[in-house]
Amino acid sequence: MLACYPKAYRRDNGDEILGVLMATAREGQRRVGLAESADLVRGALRMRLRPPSPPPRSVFTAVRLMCAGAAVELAAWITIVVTAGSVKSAMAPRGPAQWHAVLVHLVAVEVFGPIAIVVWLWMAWANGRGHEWARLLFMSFFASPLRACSAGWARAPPCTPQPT
Amino acid sequence: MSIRAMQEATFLILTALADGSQHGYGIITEVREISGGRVRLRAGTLYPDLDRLRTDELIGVDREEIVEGRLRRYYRLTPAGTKRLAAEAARLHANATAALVRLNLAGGMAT
Repeated sequence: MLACYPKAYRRDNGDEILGVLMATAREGQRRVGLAESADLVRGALRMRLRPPSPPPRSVFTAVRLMCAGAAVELAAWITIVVTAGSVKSAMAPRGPAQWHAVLVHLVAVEVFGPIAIVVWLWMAWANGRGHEWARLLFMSFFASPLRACSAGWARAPPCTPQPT
Repeated sequence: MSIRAMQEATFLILTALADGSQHGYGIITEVREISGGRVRLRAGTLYPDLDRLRTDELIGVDREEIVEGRLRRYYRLTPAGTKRLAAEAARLHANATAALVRLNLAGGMAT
């Protein structure tokens, strides 16, 4: 009977429902009665047919953060595209090796920037719909650059004033 | 803006929680007692109602315990739930009073 309920609902409430069924069972009763079975099926139908409830406030916050991530990504992409010419003018005279490294970075950002924006918006949409994996993906997206930045800061030489 | 009338089962569930937190079986027992045996909630009816009341933030989870290896949740009224229950009780009281006054009047005129 409990299998009629949505999987997530069963996971969250199955134990409790089972506890109540056992507490309300008659002495020696080993199977759910007809009235109880009909009530459980009715309850399961209500849960399956009920319109989705508004998500909790924390989900709204997470969705807003993901949209902010997309906005920041878009702003960075526009900045890089607009200033690419100036960067080229400044870097090209320094030598082909340095310019080549910057060019690779610029191209990567220009190509993957829009993809990253779409991914941020897709995570926001999925999180708003209640998909657990979207929150996990967001954590990975946030944790990876944070880990890279931390590693970079750890490797960078300390900025100490040189003695004169 | 007028608030829709509450269903009797919902009203009784909130009433059962009015003087302290209860778990599912406790709510069923209290509701039967409050209604004088007339309303017998079952698990299939109760838990979707509890879920809806939690979504509407009229009740919340007070605590959880493990009893005989199974999770047992205790529910409590939220301040919003207390306010809603009080408003509904006042509405029902006003309606019942109006009906009884008119019935008494009608009975007085008939005799």
